[in-house]
Amino acid sequence: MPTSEPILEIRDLWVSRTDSGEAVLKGVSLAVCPGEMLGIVGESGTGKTVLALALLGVLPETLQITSGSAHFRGDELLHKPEAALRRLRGMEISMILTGGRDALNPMETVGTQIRHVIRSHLDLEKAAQERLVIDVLDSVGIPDAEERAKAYPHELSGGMAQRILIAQAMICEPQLLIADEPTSDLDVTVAAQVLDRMKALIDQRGSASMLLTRDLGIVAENCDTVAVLGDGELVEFGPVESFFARPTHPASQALVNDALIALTHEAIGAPSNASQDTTVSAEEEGYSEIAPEHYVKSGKNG
Amino acid sequence: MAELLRVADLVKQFDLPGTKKRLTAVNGVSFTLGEGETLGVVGESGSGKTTLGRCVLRLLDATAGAVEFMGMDLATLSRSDLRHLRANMQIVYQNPGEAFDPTMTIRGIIEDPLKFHTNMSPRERRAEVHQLTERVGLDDDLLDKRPRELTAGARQRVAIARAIATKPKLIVLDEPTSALDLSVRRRIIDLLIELQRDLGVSYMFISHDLSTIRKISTRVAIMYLGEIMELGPTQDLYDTPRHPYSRALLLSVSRPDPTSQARRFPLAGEIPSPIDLPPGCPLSSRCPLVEEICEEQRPPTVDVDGHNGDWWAMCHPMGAAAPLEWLGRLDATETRREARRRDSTAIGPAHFGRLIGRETQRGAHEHHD
Repeated sequence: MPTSEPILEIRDLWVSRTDSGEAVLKGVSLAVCPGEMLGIVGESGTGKTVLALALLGVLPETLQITSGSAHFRGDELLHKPEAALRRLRGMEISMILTGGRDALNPMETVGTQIRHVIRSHLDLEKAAQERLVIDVLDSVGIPDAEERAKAYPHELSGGMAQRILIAQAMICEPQLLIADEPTSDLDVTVAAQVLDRMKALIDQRGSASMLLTRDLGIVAENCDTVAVLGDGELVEFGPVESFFARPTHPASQALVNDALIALTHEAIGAPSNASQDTTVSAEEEGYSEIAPEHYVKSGKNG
Repeated sequence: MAELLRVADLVKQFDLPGTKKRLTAVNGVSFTLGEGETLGVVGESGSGKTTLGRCVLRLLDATAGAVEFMGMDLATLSRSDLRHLRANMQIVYQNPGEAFDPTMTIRGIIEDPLKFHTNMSPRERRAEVHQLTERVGLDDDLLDKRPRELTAGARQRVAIARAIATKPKLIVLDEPTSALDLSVRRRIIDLLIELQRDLGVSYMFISHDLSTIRKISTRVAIMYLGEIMELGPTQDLYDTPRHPYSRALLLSVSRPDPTSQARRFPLAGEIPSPIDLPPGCPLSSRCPLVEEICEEQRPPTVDVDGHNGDWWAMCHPMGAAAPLEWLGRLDATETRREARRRDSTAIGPAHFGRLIGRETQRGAHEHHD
């Protein structure tokens, strides 16, 4: 199996509260390769968004990185000067926020907001800028792109607004895309379309991507790999097929169960192939490989 | 099963202030509800399901159509007759915390409808409140607390205790569990099912949550843009939805299984504005099986084969097709994952191991550090 170099490698990343020193991310290590979609899952409050904000260098003042590294194309990302980060953000690394209309500026047309991104990163003639605005809107499946560019956020449906956010994030064809619950606010029939389009775009551009979500169904359908965060810790990760065939850490099992309940209202109980047949010994700390490239946090914290 | 509620051709329109435009929230809805039965009303945002619930209780006056409850036409009842009837019809909202008076104690909140609708003495009421509290699984200690001191799940139990206090025949539940965590949600649903068994109350259960609807409903009505697209026995309809919209909705839920062969039925675009309703079928702008007639004429109500009025869908092409042929056309365009999945062998996830200092021993991978 040929392996490609990860575009992003996070090693032992710790983030804690500035006031109390309480750890919010506890030694997270992860990597994403070009063309790969990594699903980062966990209950709300387990650190998914903190991880994304730390990578982008936009943690709120109440949080700080205490140790660890994050290499983007071999280059250290953490503690980069703001000016250097600004060149990366939007250009090489982009984030798609949740919230549709709320994440857009209500006072400016959609076209203007997309033009801001273009101007701050790309050196283009005015005509080329306009063409790009339309192309970008087309690419996320917005009909009548030319007309829609003149619309204000309140004139858009939730699905349309979310497409705009995806369009904005994809303008510079970033090498790494972070999507934080990109469809959680949308109705299901619309969410499926928006996700499909996002996935197709990412595949087509060959970007690496991280999908932060609570919805394991979305992960199963879209991602190549899964990482489960539980209370700020990476508790399990591996290829999707292996993970869903055998979710092993209690936090992972709880999430898979929730997803099943959401479908049928019946839990499966603890899967029968759960931890008892893994060779995790209580003394051993760190991770056990229970299937090829499928790791589970074990030991005291497991 | 005796009929409790009959809704016929119900329409609710809202005038938009400052314009001559009207928003049609409910557009000709008809159904019946039997005693002790649960009708699930499911739909995405903008489908009109909440407005329908309000009109059924006459919390909103319908623009046209009729609501018959216990054999009485609600629209023609006088204020005072309606007030008496209200003891028999209750509503539970999504966020009961917001519906309660924050200054009242839980005891007061549950006692309120007893004061209003019964002749009980204060002592009888007090005893009744304790019974109700126990009935919905709440601790007596909570009675002297205020709504904000309770968890969301406990507040919903208070709302249910209050709703059953007057021994109603019908409770409209509007997204009663949508704001709750999954585990709490399940317990509230179990409580509602138990109460229905013991009290024989009928539910109209409004939700966008397909799994909750499946769990609690005897029959289900699938709403889209103010109309019921399909109505039928829950299990049968979930197993083989006949309306294109039902199919799209039910197949759009993602399964936590990457090997799932579940097919799907994608719709184009989004729900149109309820201000300028399309003249024909509400789904015509999004439906993959659309025909010319769908855009021009409102679809007929078509019985699903062998069913006489208890399972139907509103659809032109379905009415014109033989049952098996129709099922074939509804069947599937793609499996989700396979259709999209690119050749993943080129991008193995083989980089995880080295990050945690644990090279795989198989030596099958090449690492460049």
